Parts: sequence; C-alpha cells; structure tokens
Amino acid sequence: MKAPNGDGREYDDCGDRPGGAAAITVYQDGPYLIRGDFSIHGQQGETVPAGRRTVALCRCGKSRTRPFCDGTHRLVGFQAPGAAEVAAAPVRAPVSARARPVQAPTEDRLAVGRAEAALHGARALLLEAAAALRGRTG
Amino acid sequence: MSAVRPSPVSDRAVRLPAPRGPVTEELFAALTSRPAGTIEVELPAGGDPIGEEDSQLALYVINELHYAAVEEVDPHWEWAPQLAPLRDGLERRFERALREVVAPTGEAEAAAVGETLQWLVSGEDGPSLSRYAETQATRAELLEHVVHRSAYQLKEADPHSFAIPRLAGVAKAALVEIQFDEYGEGRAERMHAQLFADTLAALGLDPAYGAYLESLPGVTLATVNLMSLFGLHRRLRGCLVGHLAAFEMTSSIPNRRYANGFRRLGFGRDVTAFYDEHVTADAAHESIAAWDLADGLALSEPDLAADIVFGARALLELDARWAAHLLDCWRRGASSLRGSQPLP
Repeated sequence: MKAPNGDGREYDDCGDRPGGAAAITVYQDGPYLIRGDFSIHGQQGETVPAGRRTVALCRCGKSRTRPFCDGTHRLVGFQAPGAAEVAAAPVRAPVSARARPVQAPTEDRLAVGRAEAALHGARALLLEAAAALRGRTG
Repeated sequence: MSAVRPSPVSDRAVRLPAPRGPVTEELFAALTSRPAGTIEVELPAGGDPIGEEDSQLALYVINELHYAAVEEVDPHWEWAPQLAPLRDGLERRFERALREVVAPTGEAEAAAVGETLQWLVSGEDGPSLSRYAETQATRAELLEHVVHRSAYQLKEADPHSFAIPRLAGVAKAALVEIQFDEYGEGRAERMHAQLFADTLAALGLDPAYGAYLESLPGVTLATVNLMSLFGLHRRLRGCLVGHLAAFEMTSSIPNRRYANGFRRLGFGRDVTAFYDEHVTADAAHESIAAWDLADGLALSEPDLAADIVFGARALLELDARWAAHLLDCWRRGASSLRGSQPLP
C-alpha cells in the first residue's frame, strides 16, 4: 500500500523488502543512483553484488569499476542534467561558467566563461545541422 | 604473513597525551582531578590557532570526551560547567581564524548551492598528495599517511552524525542514508571505521583507537576538530552539511590513488579494501550529499546557504594545509609525525 510522505513522494509499505520498488535517480553531471528492491546482473546472468543499499551506476561511461561509478565523471568533465534530457536543447556552459562563483568573477574569468559558452553554442548548432542532414538523407 | 583480522572494535579508550603548551598543561592537570574550579589559563592573542599544537590538542581532547573514554579523566568532565569557559574560548578563536582564512564571500545563492559545491571541488590548485601517493610515495610515507588519517577514520562518520538530530525532513533523510552506509548498513565488521582498523592491522600498525594521538601534529588534529565544531553546534549545521558534501565529493578519486599506491608497493586486498570500498561508496554518497543533503537543506533553509559553502571551503582549506605539511616534510626527507615513535 502506497502512502504519501511529507515531501509528496509515495513510499511502499514494504514489509521486509529493503525500500520498495527499485527507483533510479539521475544526478546532475553524475551517476544514476538506484534505490529500493533491485539486483544487478551480467549479461550471462551472473549476479553482480551491489555492495550497498543505494548504488551509483556509471553514467559517463568512463568509470574503471563499471557498472559502478568511481567518480571519474568529475575528471572527464561529464555533463548531463539531473532530469530527463530535452532533445536539441542548447548545451549548457560548463559548471565553472554557470555556477555563481564564490567570489565576484574577474574580467578574465568572465571572458573565459563567455568564450566557453560561445563554443558550446557553436557545438549545439553543428549538432543540429548534422541531425538535419541525417533527417534529409535517412 | 597477513595480520589476524581484529574483531570489530566495541569500546574506545584514549590515553591522555603529553601536554604541548600552557593550555594543555592546565587542562590535563584539571582533567585528571574531579571537576572543581574553573580552568584558569590565558589563550594566546593572535598567532595561528589553526596550526597551533597547544590549542588544537586541547580542543581535540575536549572533543574526545564526546567520542571515547579518556583514561584518568572522570567522565563527568564531558559536560562539566568548569570546562565551558576554556572550551568556549578555544572554539571561538578557532572559528574566528577559520572565517578569516576562508575569506567571506557574501551571499551564496541558495538555489545554486549544489552547483557551487561542484565548482568548488573541481579546482585542483595545489600539488596533489594523492597523486604523489599513487606514483611516488615510499612505504614509510604511506604508513605515515595512514597514521595521520587514524585521527578521523577510527571514528569515521561520527562527527557528521551529530548533525542528524539537528536537521529535519529531506536533509535529515539524506544524511541518514549516507551514514547508514558509513556504518556498514548495521553490520559492525563492515563499518568504515572497522575497515580502517583492518588496514592498520594489515600494515602492522596499532589498530587501537587513539593509539597514535601523541604523534599527530596540530594541523592534523585541526581537520578533525573542524568536524567536531560543526557537528556539535546546531547553529553550524549548515557548515557541517557543506563539510560533508565536499568531503564526499573529494573522496573517490584520491582513495583510488591511495589504493593504487599501496598496490604499487605490493600490498594486497587486506590493506586496500578500505580504500576500494570508499571509491564506490563515496561515488554514491557525493551525489546524495551535494544534491539531496546540501542543495536540499539550502532550499528548505536558504539562510544556511552561506554556511554550507563556508563549511565546504573550510574543509578544502584545512585539507590543503594538512597535505602541504606532509608533502613539505617528505620533500625535506623528514617525518610528518611528531616525536620519534617508530613505525614498523
């Protein structure tokens, strides 16, 4: 039986199951977190021990402990929203340009941020053009 | 021959170390009697409270009264009113110094705390202790590193647990989710503090809680006193949350490097299991801490946003000072530990 929690989410009255049905959450610029009742298997059917109740699975593809996250996404500058991605949305500028800096940005930092944003805007246009081409020829 | 795996530690007792100056002289003399009169000692004016041996040891022992039995010290000292003025003076001086070195930044945007934390931890300015450990550190240097970390790791997660009753709602649930994993999901042999004790034993070091307190310099003690300060004051719960978020976010990659360093020197799983576990565990914890915990707290209590950012920056600052101390000593061919207690 599901019951609402104070934060509006619903939770299973899960009896002896750890946390109810499996729930996958995508975290901004980071991994998938899996919570609830789940198991992980290799493609031969073998069990991959989760090791803990809440597991982070690699989303950037660069972890050295796949399927598990090992933090490499931070080294490779992986970017992805903490929500469903909208197709053809403009690519976000990197965190260093978007996040409010702890100190007021210097002119140099602002210039770098603007240049990076311009580069990413250009990349988005190229991706759109490529997609349009594929649409015409495919 | 690998050391016998110790049974999970079920009690803690610390031996009172030698005093390091007039504050610890007076404090330890008082603590080894029953609480009577106020402890009269003048704290230094100016100086560097963060690196000061005398002040940091005094604070560390005072905080230990909350975590462990201190031999020869009546447990009533934990809340004895006679201790309060000295403790208050030490903590105020420490906090003032922290807020001075971690320069004020004005208002932090409550809606962007998660992103601000990501940005903060992404800068790698100084020389990397973990990279040095991975590629160059000697066996002796890695053992010293482990001894330094014993100041915190044998009580891993405890300072942050103090914040659980001081939070509510989504932030509280997120902190508990992290801590449940830190404490081995209820299994003593899998508690992270126990995994660290296992590493100590596997290296031929003493896994007993507090065994190396005498050897730890003030710059190391300060990193733990920071957590205790944040955890034990409700008004600093934002700082505690920011500290934990930054701590988890700067854990996976360095811990992989430390494990690699031990493997480079031929050590096996009995030594590296602690580090390997942290790579995976903290990869999950950092997302929970940055977003559910820190960002969640900032959204429900926007007034805490600046403290969350300050707590993260204070961690990074004190960690950098500690790492610089180790690297500087090793560059000079000197030990980074106090005294001459030989390591195996």
